[in-house]
Amino acid sequence: MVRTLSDLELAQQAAAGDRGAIELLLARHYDLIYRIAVKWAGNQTDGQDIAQNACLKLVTVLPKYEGRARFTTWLYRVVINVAHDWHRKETRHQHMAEIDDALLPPNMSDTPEARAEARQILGAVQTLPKPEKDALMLVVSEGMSHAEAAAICKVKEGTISWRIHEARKKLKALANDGVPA
Amino acid sequence: MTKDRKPPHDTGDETLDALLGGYASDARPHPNDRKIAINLALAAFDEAQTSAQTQQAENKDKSFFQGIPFLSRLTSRPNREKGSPHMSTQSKWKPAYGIVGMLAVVAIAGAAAITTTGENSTQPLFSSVSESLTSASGNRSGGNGPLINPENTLAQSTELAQSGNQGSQQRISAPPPPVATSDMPEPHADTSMFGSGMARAEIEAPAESFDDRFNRAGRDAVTIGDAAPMTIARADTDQAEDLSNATQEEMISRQSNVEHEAMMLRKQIEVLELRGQLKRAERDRRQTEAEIRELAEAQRPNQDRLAAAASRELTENPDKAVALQDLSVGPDGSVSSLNPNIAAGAAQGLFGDLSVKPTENPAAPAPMGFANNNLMDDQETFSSALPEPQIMAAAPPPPVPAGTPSLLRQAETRSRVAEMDRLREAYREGRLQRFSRPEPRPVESATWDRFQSFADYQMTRTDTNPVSTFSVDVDTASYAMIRRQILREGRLPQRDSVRVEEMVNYFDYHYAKPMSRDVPFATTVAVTGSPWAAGRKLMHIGIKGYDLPETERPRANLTFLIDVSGSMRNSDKLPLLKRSFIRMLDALHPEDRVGIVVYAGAAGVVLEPTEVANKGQIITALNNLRAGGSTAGAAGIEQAYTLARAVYDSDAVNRVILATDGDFNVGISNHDQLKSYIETQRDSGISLSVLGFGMGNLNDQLMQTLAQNGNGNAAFIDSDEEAEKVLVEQAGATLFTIAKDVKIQIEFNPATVQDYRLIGYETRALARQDFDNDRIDAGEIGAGHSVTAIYEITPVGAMTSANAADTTLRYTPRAMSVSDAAASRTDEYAFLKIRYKQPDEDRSQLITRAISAEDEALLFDPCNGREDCSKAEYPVARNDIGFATAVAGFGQMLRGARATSGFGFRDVADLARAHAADDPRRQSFVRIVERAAELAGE
Repeated sequence: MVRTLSDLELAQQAAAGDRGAIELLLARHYDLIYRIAVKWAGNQTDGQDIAQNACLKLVTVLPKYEGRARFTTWLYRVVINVAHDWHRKETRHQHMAEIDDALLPPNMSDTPEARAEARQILGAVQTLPKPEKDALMLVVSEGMSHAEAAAICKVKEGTISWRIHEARKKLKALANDGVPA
Repeated sequence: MTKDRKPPHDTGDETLDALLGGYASDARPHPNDRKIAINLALAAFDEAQTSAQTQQAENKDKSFFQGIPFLSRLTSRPNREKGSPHMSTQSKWKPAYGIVGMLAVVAIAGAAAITTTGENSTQPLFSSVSESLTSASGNRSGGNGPLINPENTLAQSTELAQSGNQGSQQRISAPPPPVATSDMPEPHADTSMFGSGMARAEIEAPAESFDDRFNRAGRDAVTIGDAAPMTIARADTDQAEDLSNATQEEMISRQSNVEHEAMMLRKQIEVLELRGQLKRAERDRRQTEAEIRELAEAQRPNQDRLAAAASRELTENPDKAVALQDLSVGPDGSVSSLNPNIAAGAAQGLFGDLSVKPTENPAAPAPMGFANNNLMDDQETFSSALPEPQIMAAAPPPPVPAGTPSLLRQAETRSRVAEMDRLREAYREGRLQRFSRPEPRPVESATWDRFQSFADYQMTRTDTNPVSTFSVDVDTASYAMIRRQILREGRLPQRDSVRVEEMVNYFDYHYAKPMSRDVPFATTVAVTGSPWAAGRKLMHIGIKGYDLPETERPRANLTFLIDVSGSMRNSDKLPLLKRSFIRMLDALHPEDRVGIVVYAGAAGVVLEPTEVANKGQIITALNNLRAGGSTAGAAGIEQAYTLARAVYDSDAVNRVILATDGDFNVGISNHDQLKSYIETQRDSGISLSVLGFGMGNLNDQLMQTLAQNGNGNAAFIDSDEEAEKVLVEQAGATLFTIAKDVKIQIEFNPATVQDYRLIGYETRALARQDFDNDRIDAGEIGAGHSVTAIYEITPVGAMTSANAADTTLRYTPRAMSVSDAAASRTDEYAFLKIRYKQPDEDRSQLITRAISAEDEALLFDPCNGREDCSKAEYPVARNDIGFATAVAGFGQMLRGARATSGFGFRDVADLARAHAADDPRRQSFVRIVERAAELAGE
């Protein structure tokens, strides 16, 4: 009978060379991969690239998944790392990341001013040091607890709190620099 | 969830949190992105598998060579010292060195090229290749030859091998023995195949690494050359020949492996190429969008001029002013007020096809940022007033699939950008007469759209529109697809993959059976209360087709047209397909015939039509199928039909069964041509059924279209159970048509039914007049098939004539009691008409019956728990109707229909469980619903 295979089972089958298992696993999680990719990239075009790279990466690293962490936790880690690698390589993204207006929450995209402000803030988030950006995004954007974010980043919970604090401080400084009081 | 504590009065943080929380939170990938990413990963996976195999093969070969000490040089790098202790034994095999060495170098270099590519963790290569692809845009005209030439490396290393060989010959004093020269042409022939006419690699980065590899290969070649002169001695030709033959065989088999791997690499390069194109297309799209935005800005100040020019142009030259009419002219010919929205909207209409991502992608930026509701309203009023529909201002852009990575599309995008430039120029200068509607382009949207998108039926008022007409649909593919998505992929299904009627028709409902073939249907009707809408009723119409007894079955001539492309390698594709067809043979008669045609890159006949009596032969042919292989030949589908035509028998069922995972590269690439080709074949007696396997690549829409036009059915085989059901249990229904062009028309009685809604069959709607038009094609019914259609109706409050003046609410009907129903026997809900044709006739027959309150009474179980009372006595079993209701409810919920908003997955599960009886398929349905409830967070 048709039954639902767990992510771990699928990962194991894929590692053993089952093409169908990897297809299924990717089909199951592609939406999540894509969302992480888009959030970390700041826009959909780059997100697509990152999501593709992440799928490719998964093919090679799947055998390393042993089921110690939840699959999605592990998946976050893989996709976020791919996103960082991608940013390192894409020189044209050394400057401010492009932000898709279409992805802005409705109440923040009503006026051009609101959109500009939103773009600026999100662009600033993209310039944060990677560990701080990750912590901030996981907790504030993905709505995770500090414990969950800590599991993904492989650090202590306290470190996550500290990184978020740092991130906020930097963003505030950036905002103040940008708009002199 | 322990969120970071916010400092007080930190407004920046609040904005930040809201922004981060909301940004991209519902970003959803376009189905095409999804498909491309997954296929890319699978290609990488295939390649990793292949290189692992190559590695294994290499290790094996290594040990083989190490058994022959001298030859171990070929496989073990770096060079050994020349004064090797094996030297003395090497001497006698001297003459074979040249040939063996050459072959070995070809093989190893090829393998190295491939393995190393695989080892490069794919990603750097991928990005460098796609970058190069991006930069090298436009100069790939003919498309002959891949961008990276693995052959190039092979050719060069072969040259080295040959030069090494020549070098050795020069230094050899004794003339080479005949065996060497006689064997010479073969490697030449082989290598010329690789090396001929290949240009230098066009890409810098990969070429460098290839250079490294072939240098290394060259070193190996030199080793052979150096070693050769040192080992001249007595020529034991016989022994040398033996060895050379044995080695050569091994080498040739290795070389064929290498060729295969080279093919794999080429395939991968194709994927890379697609990716590059995708990137470019995406960039083009962004550029185009930016330009359109700019245009929209630029055009605002020009409005007055626009209006003036419009009116001038219209008076002067009404013929050429079609585009202007779009912009500004009302039905009376006067210039209407030029609301910026309309102007912008008209521009959108003009350049509509420039919006590369049309509304099909909800997460995409709104096209050009000026489509708004206001505009839509304006356009509606505006366009409805226009006399000619083809000049509507709001002509929807043709569906251009987002990011379709093809050269064609890229060229299109470019030409559109150019067109844009021209139009913008014209706009700025006010030369409006240059505006003309662009020719609508044929867009093969079906190539990438997996599922046809359609809207649900809404309630229709009986007094204005009492007639509902549709074609039957006996397919069940949708059910298997949603089952796969929910149970295996663990996600709620894509909305458009859900066709409610196919889900309902998946199950068997024990309808009354027709007695003879003359009237091939029996109809069963039942009216029940609607579980999801109080006061409404569900009207079930069940049709059961005549089931041919074994003895009445005509002979079957079947031609399997099987996709053996690389993607079919999944365990749920080709292996399942083989098992399915082998199973099916059991359901066939010994005198039935089966032929097999395969297609991948090319097509070929694998088995000439063979009687099922020789089952072993057919099974062997099926078992020998390998995914990824290709045979020489013409277009697959034409070969299949040619094969079917060769054994055509007008008394038999002649059918092509196409089995694929979505690659419809059957030789006719234009879908319309393919469709009409299939129609022509259908009209001359050969029908087509389509079996879908696997999901990643499936083109459901095309599958449906082809099967419908081929008078066949489409099924999705996701498991052995499903194969058993479709190909064995229902083989009769799958193979033998008992009636064709079956249409159903219901006329509702306005006196009893206030409004109605057909559940499902959205893709099978027919116009009212089509019902009596025998030229209109409709669905087929196979032997023993059953079809269920369910209408939701709102009865008029006064259902019974006795209390017509009742004070009960007119629009809030009460539940009918048995006595009410009994008292109003003459009151009919509707009149049912079924048209069908006998399979070999062109004139339709008509079956009619009324649906009355009486059909409601039949549901009440007179057995009332009595054990001696047999279910068979009742025209309708309550379980069947109850279960069909649950399935219909589930399907609508998966489509997000508003009609069932008060009804949850758990309610469906309860309803289904109550009526599942001991049918394992129904129990499986209950599990699917429960899983869906979990997924939906219920």
